[in-house]
Amino acid sequence: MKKEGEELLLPFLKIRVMNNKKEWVSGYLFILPSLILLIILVFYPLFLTFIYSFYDMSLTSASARYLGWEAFQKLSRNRMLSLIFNNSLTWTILVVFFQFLLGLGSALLLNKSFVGRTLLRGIVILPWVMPGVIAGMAWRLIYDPQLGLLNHYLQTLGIINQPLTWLSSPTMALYAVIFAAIWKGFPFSTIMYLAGLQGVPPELYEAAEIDGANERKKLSHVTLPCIKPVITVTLLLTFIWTFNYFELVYIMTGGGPAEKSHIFPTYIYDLAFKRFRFGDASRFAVVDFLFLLIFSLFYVRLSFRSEESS
Amino acid sequence: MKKYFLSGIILLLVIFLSGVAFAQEVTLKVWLMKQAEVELIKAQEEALAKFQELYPDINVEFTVFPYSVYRDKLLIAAAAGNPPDISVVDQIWNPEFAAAGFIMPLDEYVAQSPSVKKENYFSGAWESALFQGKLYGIPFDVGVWALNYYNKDFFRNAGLDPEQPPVTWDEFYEVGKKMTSAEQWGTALWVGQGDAVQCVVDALIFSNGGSVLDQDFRKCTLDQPSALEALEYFKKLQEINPPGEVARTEEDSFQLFTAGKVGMFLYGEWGQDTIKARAPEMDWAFTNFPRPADGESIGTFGGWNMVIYQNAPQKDAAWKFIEFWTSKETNEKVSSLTPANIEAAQAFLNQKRRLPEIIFQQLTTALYRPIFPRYPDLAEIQRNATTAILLGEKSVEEALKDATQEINALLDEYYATH
Amino acid sequence: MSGSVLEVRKVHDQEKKPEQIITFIFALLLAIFVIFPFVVMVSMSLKTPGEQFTSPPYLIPHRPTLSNYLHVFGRGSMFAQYFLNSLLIASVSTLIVLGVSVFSSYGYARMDFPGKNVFLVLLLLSQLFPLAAIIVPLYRIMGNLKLIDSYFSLIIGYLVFSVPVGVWLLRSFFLGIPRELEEAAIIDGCTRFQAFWKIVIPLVRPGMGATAAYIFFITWQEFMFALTFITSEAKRTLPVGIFDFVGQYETNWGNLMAASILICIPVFILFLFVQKQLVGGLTQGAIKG
Repeated sequence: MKKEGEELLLPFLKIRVMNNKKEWVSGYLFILPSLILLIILVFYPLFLTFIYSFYDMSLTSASARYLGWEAFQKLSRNRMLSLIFNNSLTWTILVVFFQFLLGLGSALLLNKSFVGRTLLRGIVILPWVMPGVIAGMAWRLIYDPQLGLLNHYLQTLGIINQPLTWLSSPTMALYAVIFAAIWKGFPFSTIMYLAGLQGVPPELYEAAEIDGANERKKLSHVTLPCIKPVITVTLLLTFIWTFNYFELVYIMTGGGPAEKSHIFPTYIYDLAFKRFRFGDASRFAVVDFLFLLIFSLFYVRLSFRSEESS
Repeated sequence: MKKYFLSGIILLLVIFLSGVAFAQEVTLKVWLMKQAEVELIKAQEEALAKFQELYPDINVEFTVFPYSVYRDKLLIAAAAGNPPDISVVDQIWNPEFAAAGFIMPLDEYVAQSPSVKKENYFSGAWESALFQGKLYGIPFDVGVWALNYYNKDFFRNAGLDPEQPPVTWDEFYEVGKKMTSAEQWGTALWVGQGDAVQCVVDALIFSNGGSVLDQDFRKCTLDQPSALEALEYFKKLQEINPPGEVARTEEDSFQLFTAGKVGMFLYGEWGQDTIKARAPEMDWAFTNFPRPADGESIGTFGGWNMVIYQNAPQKDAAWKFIEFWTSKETNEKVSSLTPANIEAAQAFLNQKRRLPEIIFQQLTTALYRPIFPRYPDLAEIQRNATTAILLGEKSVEEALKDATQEINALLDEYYATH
Repeated sequence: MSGSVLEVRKVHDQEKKPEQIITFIFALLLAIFVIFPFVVMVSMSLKTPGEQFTSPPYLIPHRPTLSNYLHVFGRGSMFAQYFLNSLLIASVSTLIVLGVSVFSSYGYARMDFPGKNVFLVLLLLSQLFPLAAIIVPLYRIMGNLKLIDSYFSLIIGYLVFSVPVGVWLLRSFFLGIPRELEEAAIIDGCTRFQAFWKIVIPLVRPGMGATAAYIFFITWQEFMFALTFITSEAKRTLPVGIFDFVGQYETNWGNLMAASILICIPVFILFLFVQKQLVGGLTQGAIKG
């Protein structure tokens, strides 16, 4: 039998402590395995990346030269940094924004009833489920200027006169991949918003109708406020995942033409494994991490504040 | 107890030592490029079986890689200290691997070998394996950029004689112009993402009597008139080519040829099988690479050499494998490109290729690309210059002058520390 | 009062017909948008080389062939081996992650201890780094441990990003189970652990299934680690393996697309099964996070 202030963690392990302390120990024991794994596999390598960023190193550490803060001065003079920052921001903001619109729109659509809805709900997942490498290959086929279907259909419909060089042009290449990324990732937003929509109490809609609200008012006064927490989280998740998304750009343009479509993850990979400049790669990685960290902190703070005020 | 214990130890030692004595068996790790053709894979297996018959105590393990990751994998493995025993390397990587100390010079083996001799191989291939006077690889297969493939229907439609393909630069341009309309073009240019574009550009320079680096590979000569003219000509060809050439790869462009969108295409001699597969009904042929009016038709050499790594524990066994694999009989059967062994090449070309005489001739006159351990960086500078020229961002003179400066800086930096 | 509600409803019903047509049109457009690249892939996979790149291009092959699919399974193709490798690595990773996460997420969900929120935040933080960033030190660590080119290297590497996700997902499932059940068990004399193991775990099985499916699904398609850590053919996974069809000068698009279709199908089927629970877990985690 249990005495007060005592709890049995395991049959042979009695912990006699005051009230909450017993929970502490069991809590720590439970989270210990994942914590250890994280420390070894994630935080230690991250720590190493920070260390490497202060060095000039290529293939072997035998050749590593300590640079200290000069390393980051060198980085700030690197003309690629601002290009990659711009590209990464453009890439992420556009992809997240349109995934939001398309995801919300398709969720609203899939929430209505129509013939074939179940089928469509299943199909809409397809882009998200497809491995990124394969999606990249498929879109390369579609974007081929002379022999691809996109230009062919656009020309047949009379929308363009000359075939467009989607992945060839330094100005258009990134946008072409952005479109493919929107296609690839929006189903995630769809299913999140759809689940959120299904959690909205129908009484609220009925009350709004009685008050004479039309579709648009219902959307802005009932739906959106109710699913706000889901939107907040989905936007944050898609922002972070998109910012670090490697496969599509790598497969479709390789960062080109003339390195004009590189984003952080592809450039870091290029530096590390094609040119073996591990120091430079680590510096870019640190910048990537710091940016996302600051962004996330601001974002979370903002969403807490608005939650409190509402 | 002690007695049994002691004898047990002795027994174990005996077994162990005799095991070591019996372990005369050698295992060679060989890294190659992935072959797609089933017949080729079969031929490789058969050749391997023959090798095992000749040398029963040498085991050979192949690991094949797709091209896109091959160089990275090799470099990473070599730098980490566990490369294979043997691998093929692209000709342009040979100096890099030699300079880094990954691979060993083979002159002694060659001196004693009955079959591996300089005369048996194309000079362009043999010399590509030389570095600072020593031989670091044995040529395995070769290719040449480029031949001028042409679609005879385009000639007929333009009112030209399909049996008289263009020979000079001007003729090529004029013919291409006649073929160009809103939907079709004379030829397709490409830059792509790799260093293959240099093969075409360098060939134009070579044909015009120029070079990329000087004789000692210490100074860049891209700002010379011969190179300037070559790039001016290359830019001129933009007019008879479909837009989008900068991101287009050679494969995309070749598909334009097989799809009947362009009438001529400058490509390596291995393209024949592709045309047969993708355009079985096309009436096509090819001719020599176009030459300037006062120049010669000189292509760029490409291909693969076999090398032995310094870390290889059984170098003699490795050499035996190389001797076997590059011998006339085997080389002919197991390479997908033309064999580097001259006799094997003749047999191969006569058997598997149309117009073998043209190919053979181009193989004998072709020049190899500069021997410089940081060639990939050099190629990238060249590619950026070509891109700038095609995009109209810089004039030919400007682009080549800048490139020459950058390449000279690269050369100086390298030779200062090596 | 009720009369007027009924009237509102009747008027609403009559207005539905044209709205239904518009809805259907949008649904159709959505379907086409989603399916189109997939159709391109299937089309290419059924074409002979002669039909793959034509001018003008067309979708439906005139002489469809199954030879690409046959070739993917045929001689000289390592596809079956790659499939088994992917299956092995994804399954083992999933099992390990589940095993580890189940305890941790219970701890985060149910127990209170100093620093709990700090650890939770750290968990989130670990998701912020691009894989490309930690791949360099991870590669060197693996190299020093002589683990390069072993299944272990990938499994361990995948733990890096799947453990945080696993903990996060499972935590939200645990939060969805009322505490009273365990409390009752403890009052009856069970240890904390027994309550956890005998009462809670069975209830959270669907959530575990959904989490397992999600982990399986992200490790199945992972590309960068697989490209970097594995060298020999025998151990390659599918995403890297399809590059076998990309040659130095030529890509075998027909085979590539056939292999791609074959890679997509298992995960698609898997996802259909677990869709409901997975969505529930993701949104729960969102709201309660």
